[in-house]
Order: sequence, then C-alpha cells, then structure tokens
Amino acid sequence: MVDEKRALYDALGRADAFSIRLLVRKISTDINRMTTRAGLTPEDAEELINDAVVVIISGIRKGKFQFMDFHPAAYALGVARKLIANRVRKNRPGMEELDQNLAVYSDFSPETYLKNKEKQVLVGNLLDKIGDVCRQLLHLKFYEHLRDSEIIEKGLTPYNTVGSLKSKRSQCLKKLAEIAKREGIESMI
Amino acid sequence: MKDFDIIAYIENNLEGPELEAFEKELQQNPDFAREVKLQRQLAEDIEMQEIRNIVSSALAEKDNGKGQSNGLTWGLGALIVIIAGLFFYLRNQPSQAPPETDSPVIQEEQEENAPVSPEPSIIEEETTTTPNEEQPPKEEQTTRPIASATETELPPPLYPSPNLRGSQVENETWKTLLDNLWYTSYPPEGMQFVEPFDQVDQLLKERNFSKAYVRLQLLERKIPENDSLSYLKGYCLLEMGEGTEALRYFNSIEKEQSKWSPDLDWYRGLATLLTGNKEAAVRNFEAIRQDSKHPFQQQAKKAVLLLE
Repeated sequence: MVDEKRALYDALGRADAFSIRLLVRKISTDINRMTTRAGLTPEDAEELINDAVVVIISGIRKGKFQFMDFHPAAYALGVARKLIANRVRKNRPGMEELDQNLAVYSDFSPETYLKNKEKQVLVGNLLDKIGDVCRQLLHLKFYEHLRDSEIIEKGLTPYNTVGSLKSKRSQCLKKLAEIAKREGIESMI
Repeated sequence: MKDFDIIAYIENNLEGPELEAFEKELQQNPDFAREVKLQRQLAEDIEMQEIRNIVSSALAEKDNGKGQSNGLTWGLGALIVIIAGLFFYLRNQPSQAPPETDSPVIQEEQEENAPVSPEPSIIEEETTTTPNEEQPPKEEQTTRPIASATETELPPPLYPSPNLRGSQVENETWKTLLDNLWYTSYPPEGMQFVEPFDQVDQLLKERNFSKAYVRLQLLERKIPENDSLSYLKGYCLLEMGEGTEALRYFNSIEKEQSKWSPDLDWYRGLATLLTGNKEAAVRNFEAIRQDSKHPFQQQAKKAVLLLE
C-alpha cells in the first residue's frame, strides 16, 4: 500500500496527466461537498480543485511536501480546506471552523498562494510574447529541469552547443524580465 | 559590467571564484540585485504557471476525451440512432432482459450521495475503486465475442462503460452509446499472465482498475518497454475511461501476439471512441467489420450501425 501511494506521489511530481485525473477523482466529491456547505458555487469548487492539485504538484516538486505515508488526496483536501476557509473568511468575516483539524500541509498559506497565482497567470501571458523558441527554452529549464547536455542530445531546441543554448536562454529570460518591468509585474514581486 | 550568468546562480550552479564575483556584484550593484530577484521570481512563476497549464490540460483532456467534442448535436443525433437501434434490437430479442440496477446514472448518483470521510485512511479505501470497477457481470451472458453469432444474437455487453464527467445531457447520451458497445473482457482468451504480472492480473480480473493501474505504474518503472505491460496498462486505462492514454499504450506494443490481436483491434476502436474522434473510431470498426474471421465482427457491425 505504501508503494502504491508512493507511486502516485512520484507520478504527481512528474505532473503525469493520468495521476492528476486520478487525484481529482479522489478529491472532487469531498471538495464539492465542502464548497456547497460553505455556500460557494460549483465554479468555485472547480477552481479550488485545480488549485489544490497545483499546490500538491508544486509542493512535491519543490520538496515542501514530503512523502509520509499519507495519500496525496489527504494533502490535497487539507489544502482545499484552507482555500475554502480563506474564501469564506473573505465573504463572511469571523467564520473559522473550516480551518480546524487540518492534519496535513499546515504551512500552506492561501493568501500567499492566491497572491502569487495572480502574478503567475500574468507571467504565463507574458510567455506568449517572447516567441516559441524562448518559451521552450525556459520550459525545459525551469519546468522540466533538464540538463543542457540532455536538451542538446535529444535535439529539443535548435541549438547544438551548450554555449549557444545557455546564451539564448539567458537572453530569453532577460527579455521576459524586461517585458515584466514594462507591464508593471515587477512591482508585484 | 561583466556578463554574469544569472540562471546558473538561480539554479545554484555557480561555485568558487565565479560565485564570489557574482555575490560581490549583488552587494555592490542594487540594479543588478533587483534584476536577479526578478529573474529568480520569473523562473519560479514559469514553473508554477506550467504546472497550472498542465493540470488544466489534463482535466480538459479528460472532458474532451469523453466524446463531447462534437457537442450537443452529435449527442442528440446519437441518441436518436441508439433509440432506433435499440428498438430493432429489442424487437428481435423478446427474451432478453433489459439492463437494470447497474445503470450508470443511478450509480453516479449513489456515489455522489455517499458520505465520504476526509480522513486519510478512508480516502485510501476510496482510492481502490473507480465507478467502472467490481460490478458483477449480468447473469447468463457470454463473456467473449461470438464470431458465429448473427447480429441479432449479439448480447449486450457484460459491463457498463466507464463513468463520464461533463455536461449531463451529452454525457447520458454518450454514455448510453458507449454502454451499448462496451464489449470488453479480461483476460484475453487463452492468455495467462504470470510473474511479474500475477498481482495485476488478479486485480484486473477483479476489475479493480485503480489498484491495478498503480501496480502497473510500479512495474513500468522496472520494465519500461514490455509489450505485456503495454497491453495490460492500455486495457486498464481503457476501463478507466482514459482513451488517449490507452491508445498510447496500445500503439506502443511492438510485436502483437496473435492471441491479443483481435482484442487490440477492438480496444483501439473503443479507445478512439473515448477520445471523441468518432470518424477515426468508425474507420477502426469498419476494418473489423469487413474481416469475416474477426471475432469482434458482430460488435463492429453494431458499432458502425450505431455510430453512422
């Protein structure tokens, strides 16, 4: 059983599409129930499910969420409860009950997450402005975390040497930073 | 100003004199420090946004994969065809009992209403089944395709198709169509799966697809390129409603075993249907229909009739 949870945990760390759907299947009923009880809409529930999964995947990838024999769904529900509580507090100040009895992922801050989410969506839009090659270079580095030699070996970009790859990638990130400054995103950081 | 490698610094790949020079510049040059901070933050944001995109795509793929891509028109059209098909079918099958309590809609409602504890241990119990799992076969039905059967003798499938997400009306229509074509069975006739697939084999026989999938994931890490594994995983994913993924595994099989081949032909058609690509699915079924020796010929005839 531990192996099975571990396998799902590992697959989520790779953002494997099927594992994402498997996790969503596990948590949807509970989250729908919690959001209904909290007076939120089905659209809110859908967004909360997505957010909980994003937090779990990034937590696994960054080592913030260590495998401790809990099912990833338990962590995702913990995250969802905090997000729901945060939303309820905004709508009805003083409501705290959903915050109680959180067994897992207690250092998750919904406020920080939501603030960053807004910025990340804007950055996502900026990626459309730097061209496909740049986008791919940054994706391979900061999402896939591939080594330069691997990128070249597999022919994933038009660049044949580590030097040219690094140079172009630096230019791409710099270009993104310049656009971010122009669009005022720097002030959100 | 010297051209520093900011990405290498962000990724903790600088060391020695290079790192020292970089840190010195950070202390002495506030503009440079601001630029590094911005680029570091952007790198983190890129990763998070990519994760968000992947999660959205994974869930959208699931919805599209259920055949809603052609919209309500296709759904309603299919309903009319199904009703007509069922009318003729039932007229020729007076003794055939209609499907009863394992109606997918009822099943889904029951699942929705079931109390679910958020406790991890209970969640774990939940994870062991999916809606298409562990449902007993209807009595007095054959489990294998009947090559010699005429079209009117074809019994309904043993098990319902996987449950669907998305728009209720379209779902019900699509689900009814799939239920009528969901001729799947395990294991393939005359096949036995031994070590290291014995546990998976047992779980698939029990129709415990979630658990079987996780076992297959573990096995895949040990034996990534194995035709038996690809077949089993493809079948497992198919029964869980993952058409695109199932197809990927079926198509990765390098050397088809003759015992699998007919099942594979049919399953590829079903998987294609799950992805919502009706035209491609019809092509698959048409090829089977034209092969008079194919054990799924009758099923293919029914599929073509219902889909066209």
